[in-house]
Amino acid sequence: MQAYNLYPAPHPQTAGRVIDGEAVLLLAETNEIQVLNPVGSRIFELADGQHTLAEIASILTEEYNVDFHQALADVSEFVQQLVDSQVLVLYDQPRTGP
Amino acid sequence: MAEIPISIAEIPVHLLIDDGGAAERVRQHYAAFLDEGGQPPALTLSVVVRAGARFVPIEPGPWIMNITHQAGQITFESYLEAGEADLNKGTGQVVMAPEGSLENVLRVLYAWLCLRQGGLLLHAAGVIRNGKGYAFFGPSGAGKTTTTRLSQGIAQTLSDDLVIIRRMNGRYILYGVPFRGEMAEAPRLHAQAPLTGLFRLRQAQRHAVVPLTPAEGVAELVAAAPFVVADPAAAAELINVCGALTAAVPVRALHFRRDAGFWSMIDASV
Repeated sequence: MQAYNLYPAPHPQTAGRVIDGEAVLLLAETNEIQVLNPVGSRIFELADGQHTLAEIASILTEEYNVDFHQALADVSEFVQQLVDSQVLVLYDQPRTGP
Repeated sequence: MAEIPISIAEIPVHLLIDDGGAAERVRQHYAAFLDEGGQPPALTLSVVVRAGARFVPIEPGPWIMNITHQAGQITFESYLEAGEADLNKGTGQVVMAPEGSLENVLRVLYAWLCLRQGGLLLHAAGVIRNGKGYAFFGPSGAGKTTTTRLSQGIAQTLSDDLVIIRRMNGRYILYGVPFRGEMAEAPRLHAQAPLTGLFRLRQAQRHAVVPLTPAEGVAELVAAAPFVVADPAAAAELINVCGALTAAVPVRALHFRRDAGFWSMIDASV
């Protein structure tokens, strides 16, 4: 399966909430706290287990008027960073629950 | 068995202590916080004093309190004290050595009791000035004790280390707690005031009050809330509580140098 067809979703050990367009993330296992910038927060918001990376990139392409391929590359890189820091998990099927 | 009812931030806890000497020490230590209101307790904590009790090996290094939490069930374990509490049932038990103390146990339990009631135990200095409550928060070394000392004669000290903030009747209230900080002379008042200012401390060369975004404010508050990030559900609840608090009382950064001039900046900002 191509990476851009994967579905990112919040890691089960992470709590997060978008407040006024900025995501506050709290990793329960490490007590690490992160605040994402507005674009990162939008990606986190869309990483709900219902959107693939490609779909997220498509939404950002419309919202930020950027090139799709560049958006896909940026989304993939950013999501991988969040996966590495245990904020997100990638699934090969849509997620229907926590 | 001695029953000692205390109330901190209007949250009653009853202590049932099986040792007369320990009970008297607890009664004296929490004298200002003894509850005479007869309110039903949020938690009844049975305390067994056992000679020679040891739970965590005493070694050089940071103070240790191992905590687990799952759906209202808490376990805690430190050097001389260990126990568990079921916050859903409102009961708990502690075993401690005669030279142990309930102070850290109560800090942990009150942190959880506050969170369950939409409040927050916060690593913060708290003062009351002209009937208004101000909290200055941040990690160790941020300047909590310093701002408390600089505020003497200007404001009434609640604490230089820990306060409780709760929403009561539609507004946030800043409460004093009986827990000790670095400032031995701090009175640990059983007092409260409407929360007017919430400041993240930053030591600097000049005084300034700088707004934070709501998300930054929440992140700073979460980082200053001890004990309660033990599982994802609690973390989510903590973020929600801090989000509601910052929506009502915005968090600002207080850049300050070591004089009381920062109060003029505060007065101009709230």
